[in-house]
Amino acid sequence: MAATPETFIGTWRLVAWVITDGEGKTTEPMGPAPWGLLTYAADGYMFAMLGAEPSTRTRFSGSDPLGGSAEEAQRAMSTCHAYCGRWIIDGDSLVHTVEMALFPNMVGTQQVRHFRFEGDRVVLKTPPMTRKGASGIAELTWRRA
Amino acid sequence: MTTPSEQLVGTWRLESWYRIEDDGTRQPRFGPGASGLLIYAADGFMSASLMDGGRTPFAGPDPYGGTAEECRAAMSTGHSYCGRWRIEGEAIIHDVELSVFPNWVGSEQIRYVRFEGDRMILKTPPTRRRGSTGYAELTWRRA
Repeated sequence: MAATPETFIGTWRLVAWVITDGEGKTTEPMGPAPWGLLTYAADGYMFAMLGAEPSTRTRFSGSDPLGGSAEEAQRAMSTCHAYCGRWIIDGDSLVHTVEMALFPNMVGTQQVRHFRFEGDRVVLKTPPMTRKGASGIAELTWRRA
Repeated sequence: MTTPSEQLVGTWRLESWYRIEDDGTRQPRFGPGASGLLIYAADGFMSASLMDGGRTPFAGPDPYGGTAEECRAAMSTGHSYCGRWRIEGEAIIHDVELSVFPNWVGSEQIRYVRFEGDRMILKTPPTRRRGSTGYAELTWRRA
């Protein structure tokens, strides 16, 4: 199936997230029920947020999103990450050029995701990376939201 | 004639973010180099990302593996959430599904909207921050 922008434009919901290390050992970094939303906007911008099931996350004692304690912030960031920027299709990969990210190190990077389709789902495969302490190649399965 | 939805759909870039206290004090919430992207997708989903300038990289490669102090610094200089959006009168409602700030999950974030030329200005309902009541005003331009 030849992918066009229309193949991806819209919002996708995370179904599965599996990291496979060099020995073939698999890890689900956010458990069996990860949560995530991925938007490919028609104007060339994209947004991704991935993490743990929201009800498992601990609320802050205060109401200021920027005002959490170090412990609150660490619990929040160890269970949620988001980034956004621009996207293009390059052959059988999506390239996300990251403009903003909660994780400061990702800003300015290109995140390349090889894609394949399984029925109504798209599987995005990453280069080797470390997420939630697990290192390897990740496969993220998404369905239309 | 552009419909209200057509006026919103697309990506917006943050131009300024002020906190305005009830006593009239007006302070930028972030410093120089701040950035923000707000996406209203045609399918009804939205996302907001707001970051201060000059943020400090983590020592390690794992976005989920920061130390407590790295995470405190990152979260005091960055915020992100997403969900669905809809227009209700003079307001845009963001139905928050996911947010790095856990307290917002499941909440409705109401933003009163007005347009000035090619800019969109979003105003929050009153909130308390550091013991004082006021509201935020965020100005956006099309990205």
